[in-house]
Amino acid sequence: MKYDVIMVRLGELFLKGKNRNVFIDKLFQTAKAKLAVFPDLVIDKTRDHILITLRGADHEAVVKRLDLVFGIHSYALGKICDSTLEAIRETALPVAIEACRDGNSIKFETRRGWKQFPLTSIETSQRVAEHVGENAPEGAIHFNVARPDQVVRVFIKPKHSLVVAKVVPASGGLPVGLNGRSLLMLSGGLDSPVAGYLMMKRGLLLEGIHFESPPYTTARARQKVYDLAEKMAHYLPRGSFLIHVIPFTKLQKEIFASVPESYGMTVMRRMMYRVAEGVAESRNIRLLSNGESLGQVASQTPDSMWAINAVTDLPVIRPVACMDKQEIMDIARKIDTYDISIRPFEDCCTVFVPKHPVTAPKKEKCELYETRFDWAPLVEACVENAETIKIEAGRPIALDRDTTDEICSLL
Amino acid sequence: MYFDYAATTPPNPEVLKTFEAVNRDFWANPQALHRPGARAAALLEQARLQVLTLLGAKKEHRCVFTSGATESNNTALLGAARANAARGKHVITSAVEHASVREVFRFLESEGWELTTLPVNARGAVEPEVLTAALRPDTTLVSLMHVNNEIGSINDVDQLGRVIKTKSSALFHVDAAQSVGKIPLALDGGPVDLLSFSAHKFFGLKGSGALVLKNRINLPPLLRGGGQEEGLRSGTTDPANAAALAKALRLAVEGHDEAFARALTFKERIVAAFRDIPNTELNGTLDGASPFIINFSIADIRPETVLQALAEQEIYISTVSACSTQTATQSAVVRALTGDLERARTSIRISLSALTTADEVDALIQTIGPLIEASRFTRGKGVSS
Repeated sequence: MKYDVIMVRLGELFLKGKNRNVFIDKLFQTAKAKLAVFPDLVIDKTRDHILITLRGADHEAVVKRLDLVFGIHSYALGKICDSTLEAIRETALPVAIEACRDGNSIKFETRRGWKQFPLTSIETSQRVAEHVGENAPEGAIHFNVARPDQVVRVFIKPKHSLVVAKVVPASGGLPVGLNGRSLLMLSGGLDSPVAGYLMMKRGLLLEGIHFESPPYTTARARQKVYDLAEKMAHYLPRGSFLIHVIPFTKLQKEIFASVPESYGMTVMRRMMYRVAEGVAESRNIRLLSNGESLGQVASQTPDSMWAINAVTDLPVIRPVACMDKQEIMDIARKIDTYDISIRPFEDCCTVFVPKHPVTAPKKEKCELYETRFDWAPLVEACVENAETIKIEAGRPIALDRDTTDEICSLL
Repeated sequence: MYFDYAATTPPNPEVLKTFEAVNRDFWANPQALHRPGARAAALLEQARLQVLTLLGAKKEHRCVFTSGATESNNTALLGAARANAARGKHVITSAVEHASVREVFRFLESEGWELTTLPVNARGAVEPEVLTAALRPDTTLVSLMHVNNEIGSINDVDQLGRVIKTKSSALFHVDAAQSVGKIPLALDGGPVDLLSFSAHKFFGLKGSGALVLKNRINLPPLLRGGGQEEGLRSGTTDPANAAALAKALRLAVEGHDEAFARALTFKERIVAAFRDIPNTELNGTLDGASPFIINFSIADIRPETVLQALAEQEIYISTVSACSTQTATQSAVVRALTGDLERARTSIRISLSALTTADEVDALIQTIGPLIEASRFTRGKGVSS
């Protein structure tokens, strides 16, 4: 069925009192930016929804773009017509038949925004239902006024009216930017991009921090992080993702030279948190986030989290902490990061994996081992020498641009 | 004048250029972590993506580079049968498959699988009703070719696949060696689980092919080792072969509408010419078949005689399929199609490609009629096989 309009219904608005308008504005601006690729659309903001007039654009393509916008509860697809009873009745017939497919039952509800319309809302619903009942093919329509599976809504406005039925669930969440910013620790694995997605879904703007240990990590690992950042950038209102790449080699070598092997990983992660805190501070960010998941590796036991987390006062959110690997993989596939994450390149965490990492580290021991070398200036250097790269949605950065061109010419 | 393109095609010069350039500039091991390795890997993955895109398979499928359709068929069939042995050991194929499918099934039969071999109709295709009747709860694998290599008959892969998918949980393998690059078959959203093909059938290189399979399918490999190609095919992957295949496929797909239309007019002319030669019969049909493959039985003459006589005029055709000439004295395909042993013993194949010219077709038509008459005269009637 070809639809004329998409009525975008907003999610969780009822939670917001005075901020409601800020919320809607934010969402409206983001949606508008994401839909800029369809120049013919008309996008109107009303009190409780956004109305998109498709003017020939494919509704599925538009909905796909809108799925990048958090804060939308659902889409209702419908048709547009003149504000006469005749026109509304004609338009409602195919919409109702479509809505009753798969044996769904319906009822009509009318909202009369234009009070000059000669019938009341209830009368309109009745007259439309009457027409549909009489003119639909035998068995095509099932009415159930008490408990319909689907409500077919008629909106009467001065210039035109809408008949809206099919409801498609949207991404949910809160508009990005509403809840401030967070610094995401982005390793290149499966979990951290998913964590980032979930943070953005809760309305946070994200920046990324990535630790790199050349020559132990390769350019391909950095490429991987760039590609992941590009995927996440699609969900940000401006479509650009800032990533801070930390040159970690020197500090990492020092750690593994000074600290017993079993504590190497714990101390390394403590240092990472310190660097992340430093970068967050320089960016005025008050919240860290990462893809740690309980029980996956040695650093993700409660004892380990305690020993590591102790180095920072910043709150750390771990959105995937309690998710199963399968759930994480499902989201990774949905947001298109799965194939990138499984590329087999080493990141900082996998370079110096000790044979027997301690699973219940003691904070005191960490502190003791850390007195053995002068780490503070090294942490500071990491923060200072961070390389900040802006990654734009839809414009992936290829580190090896020459190769890319060469390959294209060969194939 | 070459009329044996179904056996193999000459590599496109552009493909050779790619092969050479990749061997010169991207020869590193794609698994290596250094920059040359990364470059080779980038090329390999781009080639893979291009193959999937050209086959309309990007969303639901992945691509494993192999040494050709024979390896792809072996990997797919042995792998799928073994991976699902716990669910059932009934497998289905058709009577007109290529040896690299037929022989694998024969081997599986010797290993305890139960094989149903489906007959084909007068067009050389498998009827959906026949397939429906053969499917059982313990059927785990069905392999049907897209285009037959000897007579050019086309199976309605979508329809047959839908039958398989609605009536059973069997995997569906398609040997598409004679169709990829020539006759379109979109894979995403369709029922095909596994698809085999060779590059050398569409102006690529011999020793190069691919197995395209649905993302969710995992198979035990034939070749174990370094775990290349997602563990499905160990052995250092050759970026040059992969790139050459991707390039050959692009060139073939870009030209395939035009090549198809031209081949069809040529086939019509050749079939019309044979109508004037007594005691010859078309195996297969003109309509609804591949225009690139034409098969005739010429009564009372050994096909080798026709082949030799034409070869003296520098016109090259083939008997049966080149892949099995060493052993065959009759065409199993023509026999399955016609049920006629004599026709199976006397079949010849003329196969065309985008390179075939109108002049060549003219020469063939002018030569073959008189030549057959002359051969019959000199050989007399008492021909034995």
